[in-house]
Amino acid sequence: MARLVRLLAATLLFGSVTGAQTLRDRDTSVDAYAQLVRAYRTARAQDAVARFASWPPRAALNGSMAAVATLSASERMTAAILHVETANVLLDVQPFQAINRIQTGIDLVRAAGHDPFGSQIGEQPRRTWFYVAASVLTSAGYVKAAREVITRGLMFFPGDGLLYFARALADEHDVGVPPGDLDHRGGGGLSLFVVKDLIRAIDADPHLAIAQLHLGGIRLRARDVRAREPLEIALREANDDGVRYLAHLFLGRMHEQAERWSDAEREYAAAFQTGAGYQSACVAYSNIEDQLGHVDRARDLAAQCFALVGHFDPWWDLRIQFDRDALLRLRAEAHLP
Amino acid sequence: MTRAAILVMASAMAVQPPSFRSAVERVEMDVSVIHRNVPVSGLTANDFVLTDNGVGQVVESVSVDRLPLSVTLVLDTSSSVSGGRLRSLIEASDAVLTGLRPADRVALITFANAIQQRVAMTHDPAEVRAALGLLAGGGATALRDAVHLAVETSPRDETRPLILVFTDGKDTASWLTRNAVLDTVRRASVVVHTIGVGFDGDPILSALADASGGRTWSSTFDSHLRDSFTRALEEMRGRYRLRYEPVGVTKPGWHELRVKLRSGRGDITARPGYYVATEQ
Repeated sequence: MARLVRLLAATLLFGSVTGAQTLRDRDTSVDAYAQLVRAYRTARAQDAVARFASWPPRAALNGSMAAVATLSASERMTAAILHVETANVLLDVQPFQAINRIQTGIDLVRAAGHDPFGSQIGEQPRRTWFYVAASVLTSAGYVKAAREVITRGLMFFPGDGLLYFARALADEHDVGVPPGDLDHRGGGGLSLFVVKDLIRAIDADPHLAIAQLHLGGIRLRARDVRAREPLEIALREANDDGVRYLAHLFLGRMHEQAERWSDAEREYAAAFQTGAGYQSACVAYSNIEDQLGHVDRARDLAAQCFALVGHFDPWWDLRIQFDRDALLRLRAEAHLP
Repeated sequence: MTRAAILVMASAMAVQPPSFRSAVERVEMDVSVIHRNVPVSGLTANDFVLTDNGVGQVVESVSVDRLPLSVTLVLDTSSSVSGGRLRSLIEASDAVLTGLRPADRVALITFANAIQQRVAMTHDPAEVRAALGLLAGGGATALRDAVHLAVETSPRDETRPLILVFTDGKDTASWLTRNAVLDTVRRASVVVHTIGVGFDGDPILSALADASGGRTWSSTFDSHLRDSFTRALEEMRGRYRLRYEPVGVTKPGWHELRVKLRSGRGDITARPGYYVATEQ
C-alpha cells in the first residue's frame, strides 16, 4: 500500500518516455553521462530523470564511476542528486536498479568534497542527500536498504539530526502503522525506539520541524497529552507550508480527541487556508462543521473539496513516509539559473 | 436483526437533514423487507411494529416508494482497479445507468488519493456513461473521505438519495477516521449500499451500510459486479416507506429505532436511528 502513490508518480513520469528508444543502442559514454548531469542542473530536471531512468544499469554505473574522476565537485553532487531522484521513480518498477542508483550515488557524495555547491551552503546538501535517499527507500518499504544508507550517512555526519529522524521513520515503518494513521493505536515497544530517535533528532536540531511533527503525531496516536508541545513547535519552526499544514491538521485532530470542537474547527480552518488548499484539510473542515451542526457550511465546503483535486496533498506523502519537499529542495540546490 | 433506515422530516422543512432540529414532527423511513433473497410485497402499516427510543409508535402509512432516486456512484479508481476489474466496474455502473427511470438522477464520484466529482447530479445518464469511459486506475484509496463528500453533496430534496460505494481494498489515504465517517452517515438521510470485490475488503463497508440502513454486496469475482450493482438498485426500488409522528420521544440526541414485522417472515433492513439536535 505504501507504494501506491509512488507507483502513480512513476507512471506519470514514465509516460513521457514510454515508446522512446531505449539506451541499449544509444551512446552511453562518459560524455553522455556528463551531458545528462548538466541537463539536470540547467534544463528541465524531470526530463533528465526520465532519460536517466531508461539507462541500462551498466551504463549508469560506468558513467558514475567515470564522473568521480572527470566531473567537478558540484557536478558530482548534482549527479548524486540525479541518482536519488531517479531511484525514486524506479523503485516501484525496477527496485534493484533503483537501489543500485542510490548505492552508486553514495560514492558520488563522498567524492563531492565538503562544500560542493560553495562554502555558503557548505555540507548541508550532502547531509540532506542521505536523508532523502533513506526517505525514498523507506517509503517504498526497503527499510533494510534505508538503514544501510543511514548508517553510511551517520559515519560521514555523526549526530546529524536529520539522519536520526530518517532512522526513526525507517523504524516506524517496521511498526506497520503509517505515521499518519492517527486512528490506529499500536506499535508497542518499537515506538519507543522511534521516539528516542525523534528526540535525538530534536536535541541535535530543535528547529527540525518535521521531527517535531512526527513526535506530535506519535503521541497523538497514543492519545498522549504531550502531543501538543511538539506540534506547536512544528507550527512555529516550519519553513514550508507542507509542515505548517500538517501541524494544523494534527492539532485539529488533537482537539477533536479531547472534544474541544471549536478549537478543532479553528485548526482545520487554518489547515484549509494554508498553502494551496489541500483536499484532506477541506474534508476535515467539512466534517467538523457537520459535527457542529453547521450543515450548510459543511455542504458548501464539501463541494469546494472537489475543486482541490489537482493539488498534491502533503498528507498523502506523510502516510507513506516520503519527504517530497526535501527532495525538491535538494534538486533546487543543484539547479543553476 | 433490525437495522433501520430512516428519513426524518419536520413538516415545515421536509428537505432538511434531521440532525439539528429539536421538534421532529414526522419521521419517514425506508425499510427493506427481504425473505429468501426476494423482496416481500403487499405489506401494510399493520404489519410493522416500530419503537423510537423504546417507545412504541403508530405507523401511519406504508407505501412502496415511487419517488425518483438520486443515485451517487462512488467508485474506487486506485491502482488495483485496472484491466479486467476496471472493465467490469464500468459495465456494472453502466447497468445501473440503464436501470434508471427518466425522473431519476445520477452523479459520479471517483476516489484514489484524490476524490473527484466526475459528473454532478444530472438527469442525463449519457454524461456519466461518457465519464466512465475515461476512468483509469492509479494511486491509493481514500474511501472514508470519499464517502463523507458523497454524503455531504447528496441532494436534500424530495428525491431519495442512494449512494453506491464500490471498493476492492482497504483505505490507505483518508484523513477521516472510521468513527467520523460513520457519524456523518448516521446524521444524514441517505441510504448507502456498499459493494466489495475480492476477499480482502475494508470492514468499514458493512458498517457504512448498517449505519445508513443499506446493504453490502460482496463479489468474489469481477464478473459478478454487474449483478451486485443491479441488485442494489432493485433493492432500493422495492423498499417500503414508513411514516409516523413521534409520540413521547421529544428529547434531543440519538433516537434508536427498532422495526420488526408483527407476523410473517422477512429480514428488515433499516437505519438504526436518527439524531435530533438541540435548538440552535
